[in-house]
Amino acid sequence: MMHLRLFLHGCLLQYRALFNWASPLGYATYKVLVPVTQVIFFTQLGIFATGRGNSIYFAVGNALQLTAINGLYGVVMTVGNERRYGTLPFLLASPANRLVTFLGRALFHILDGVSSVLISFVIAAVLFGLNFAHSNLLLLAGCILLISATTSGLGLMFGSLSLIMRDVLTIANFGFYLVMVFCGIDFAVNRLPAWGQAISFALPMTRGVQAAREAVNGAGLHDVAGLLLGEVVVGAVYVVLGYALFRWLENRARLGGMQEAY
Amino acid sequence: MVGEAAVALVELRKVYRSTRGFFKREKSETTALAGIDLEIAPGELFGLLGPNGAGKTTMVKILTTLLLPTSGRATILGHDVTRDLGLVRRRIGFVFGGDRGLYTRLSGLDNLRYFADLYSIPPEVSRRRIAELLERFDLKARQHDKVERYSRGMKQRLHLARGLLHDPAVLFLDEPTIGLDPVGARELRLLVSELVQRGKTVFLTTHYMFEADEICDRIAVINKGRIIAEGTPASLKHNVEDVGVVEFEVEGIPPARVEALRRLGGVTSVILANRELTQLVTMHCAQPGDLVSQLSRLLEGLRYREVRVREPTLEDAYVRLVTQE
Amino acid sequence: MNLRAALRAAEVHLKLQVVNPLAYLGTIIFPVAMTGIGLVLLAPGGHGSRITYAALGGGLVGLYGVAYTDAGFSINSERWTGTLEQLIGCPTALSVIVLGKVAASLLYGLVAVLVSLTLAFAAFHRLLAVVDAVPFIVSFLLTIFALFALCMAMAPVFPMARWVFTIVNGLELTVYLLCGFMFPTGQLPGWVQAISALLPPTWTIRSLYAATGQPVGHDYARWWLIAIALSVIYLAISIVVFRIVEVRSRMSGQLALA
Repeated sequence: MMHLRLFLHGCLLQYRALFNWASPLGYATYKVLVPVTQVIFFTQLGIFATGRGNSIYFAVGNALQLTAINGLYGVVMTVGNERRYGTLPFLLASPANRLVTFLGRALFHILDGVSSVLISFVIAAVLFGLNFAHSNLLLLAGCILLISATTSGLGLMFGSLSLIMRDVLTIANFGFYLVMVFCGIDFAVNRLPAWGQAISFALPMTRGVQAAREAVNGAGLHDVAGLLLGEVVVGAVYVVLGYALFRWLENRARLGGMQEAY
Repeated sequence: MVGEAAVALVELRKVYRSTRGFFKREKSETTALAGIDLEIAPGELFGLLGPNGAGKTTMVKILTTLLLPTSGRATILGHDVTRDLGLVRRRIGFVFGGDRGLYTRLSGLDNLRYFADLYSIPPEVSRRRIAELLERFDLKARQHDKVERYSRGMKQRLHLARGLLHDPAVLFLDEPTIGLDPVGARELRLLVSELVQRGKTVFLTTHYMFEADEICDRIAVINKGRIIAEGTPASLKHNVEDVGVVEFEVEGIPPARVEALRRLGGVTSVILANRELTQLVTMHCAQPGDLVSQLSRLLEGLRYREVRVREPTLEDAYVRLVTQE
Repeated sequence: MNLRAALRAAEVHLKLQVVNPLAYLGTIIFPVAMTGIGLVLLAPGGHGSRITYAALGGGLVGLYGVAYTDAGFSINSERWTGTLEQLIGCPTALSVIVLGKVAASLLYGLVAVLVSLTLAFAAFHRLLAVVDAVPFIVSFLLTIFALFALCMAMAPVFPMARWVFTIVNGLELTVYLLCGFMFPTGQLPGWVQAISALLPPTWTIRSLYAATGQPVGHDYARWWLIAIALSVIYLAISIVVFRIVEVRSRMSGQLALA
C-alpha cells in the first residue's frame, strides 16, 4: 500500500513539475476553451460539408480526439522537459525503477485526458444536442479510458524521441496533427487512400474512436471487442517501443555516445 | 546642482507590491530602494557595492529606464529617466552581461547590426563603428560565427560592444566580470578604464571588492535599499583603519566554535569562506595581537594553519559597513 | 517610425525562424493537415466548387496560424532569450520591432498558402476557379493587411500575464471559426455573426471567396472599406496596448523573468 501511495504521489509530482500549465486559471482555460473551439470549428466545417444532420458525428470525433492534448502534448512534454530542465541526469542516476518511472509519466495524463473528453461531450450535448439516451455508457467510458491510455502510449514513444531532439513542442504538435487527420476523427478512414489507411491502423485511437462511436449508438461489448483488442495491442506496441528507446538512449548516454540525451 | 551631474538621484524610492493566493489575496510590499540621494560627475568611474538583494540591480534598472520608481527623481545628463525616455536611451548604454541577452542563433555581426538599427545609427556610421568595435574587442575573426559557439568571455565582450555601438556618454555595467576567468576579467577592467579615459561616465556594480578598489574613482555601498557609505576607495578603507584583521585556514570548524569566536571581546565580525578542503576564517577585531595569542586555545583540537595579521582592505570595510547595518 | 529598425527586426526574425522547426510545422504540416481534412470533407458529393474552401482556406489557416503564433510569442520569446530588456531599453518602440516580426511572419506564412494550393492541385488537378482576378488580388492583399492588424492587436495582450497567454493561445481556432476561413460565416448563429463582423479578416475572406465564385454576394467595395476601417482601429488599439504593456513592465520590473 505504501509503495502504491508513493508511486501515485511521485506521478502527481512529475505531472505538476514537468507539464507546463502555470496556474489554475491557465489550466481551466485549456481544459474548457480549447475543447470548445476545436469541437465547434470542426463540427461547423462538417456541417458545411455534409449538412446539419451529421453534426453529432463531428462533435463526437473531435471530443475523443482531445485526449491527444494530454496524451501527446502532455506526455511528450513531461518526458522531454526532463532534458530541458536538466533533471534527466538526476533521474537516471537514481535507483528508481525505470519502467515504473517511465509509465508514471503517463498516468495522470491518462486521467486528465478522460476529463477532457467528458468536458467536450458536455459541450457537444449543449451545442449540438448530443444525446446519450441510447448509448452504452459503460462501454463508452471504457473506450474513452482506453483511447486516453493508448494515445499516452504514443506520447511516451514521442517523448523518448524528444530526449535526443531539441524541440519537444514540434514533436508533440506533429503527433497531434497526425491523429487529427488519420484516426477517423472527421471522416471514416476508408475515405483515405491505401497508404493513408495503413497509417491510420498503425496509430492508436483509430480503432478506439470507431468503438466509441458504436458505443454512443448503443452497441454492446461483443460488437466492438475486436476493435478494442486491436487498440490495446497498438497502444502496447507504442509503450514497449517508447520504453525500449528510453532505455537504449540511457545506455548510449552512459557509454558516452549520446551526450545530447542529457 | 542636479543639472551638472552625469547621473543624479534625488530621494529615489522603489517599492515592489505583490499579491499571493487565488481566493484569499495576500498583499505584500518590499522596499528595494528607501530614498537614495546620489550624484555622479561626468567622466567618473563609479562603483556600487552591496550584498544580494541590496537594491543594486533595482537602481540600475531605474537609471536605464527599464523600471519606474515609486517616488523621487533620477536624471541622466539632466534628462528625467521617467519622462525623457528617448533622450535618455540615446545617451546611455547598458551591459547586463551573462549568457542570456544575445541572439545565440545569430552571428556576432548580425547581433550588432540589429542593435545598430534599433539605435537609429546611420548605416555608414554603423558599418564603421561595428568594424572598430569588433577589432577592439577581439571578435573580428569570429564575427560570422553564431553566438552559441562563443566562449563566456567572448559573449561578455560582445555585450560590451553592443552597449557602445551608439557611443553613449554614460555606460551602466551590471557585474560585467562575473563568470569570467581572471585573464578575461582583467582585460575587461582595462577596457572599462580606457572608456573612462576617453571621457565616458561609467556606473559599475560588482561583487568583487578588489575590482572596485582597483578601478573605481568613487564607490557607494548599498544595503537594504539605502546608501550606507560613499567615497573614494581610500576614504572607505580609512573607516576600517582601526580594525585589525586576523585570518587563518582551518579544516572544518564547528558552528559552536565560530560562535565562541564571535563572542570574544573586541571581535566585530567573523566571516567564513569555503575553499576546496578548508575554510578561510576572517576575523575583524580591535586588537589582533591579543586575538592571535588566544587562537591556539580557542582552536584546540582543530587543524589550522597560516595564521596571519594583515591590513584591512576595501572588502573588510565593506563587511564592517554591511554587518553594522 | 524607425523603418530601418522594423526591416532589420523582420530580417532577424526570418533568420531565426529558418532554423526553428516549429516554423516548418506551421507553414507545412499544419496547412497540409487542415487542407487534407477539408479536401476529404468538401470534395465529394458534387460540391466541386467547395474545394476552394479547403484549398484556399487551409492555406489561410496556416498563414494566420504562423503570424498569430509569432505575434503571440514576439514579446515572450525575447523575455526567454533575455533580450527583452535590451529591446525595451533602446530608443525604438517595441511596437515597431513587433511590426517587423509580424510582417516577416506573414511573408513566410505565404508558404502555407502555396502548400495548400499545391496539395489541392495534386489531389484534384485544378487550381482555384478565379472568377474575378482584380477583386481576388485586392482581397488577398487586404486579407494580409487585416491579419496583420489582428496580430498586432493580439501581440501585446499575450505577455500581460501568464493566464492571459493561455487564453489567447486557445483562441486561435476561434478566429478561424469566426472569420469564415474554411466555411461561410452565414451558417453560424446570428449572435456569433455579429461578433464575426467585428473582425477585419471576416470581410476580406468573404470577398476572397466571392472572387472565386462562391455564393456569398459581391459587395466588394463595402466589404473592403469595412475591413480597412476595422484594421485601422485594431492598429490604433495595438499602439495603445503596447504602451500599456511597456509601462506595466517598467512598473513591475518583470522584463527579465522567463
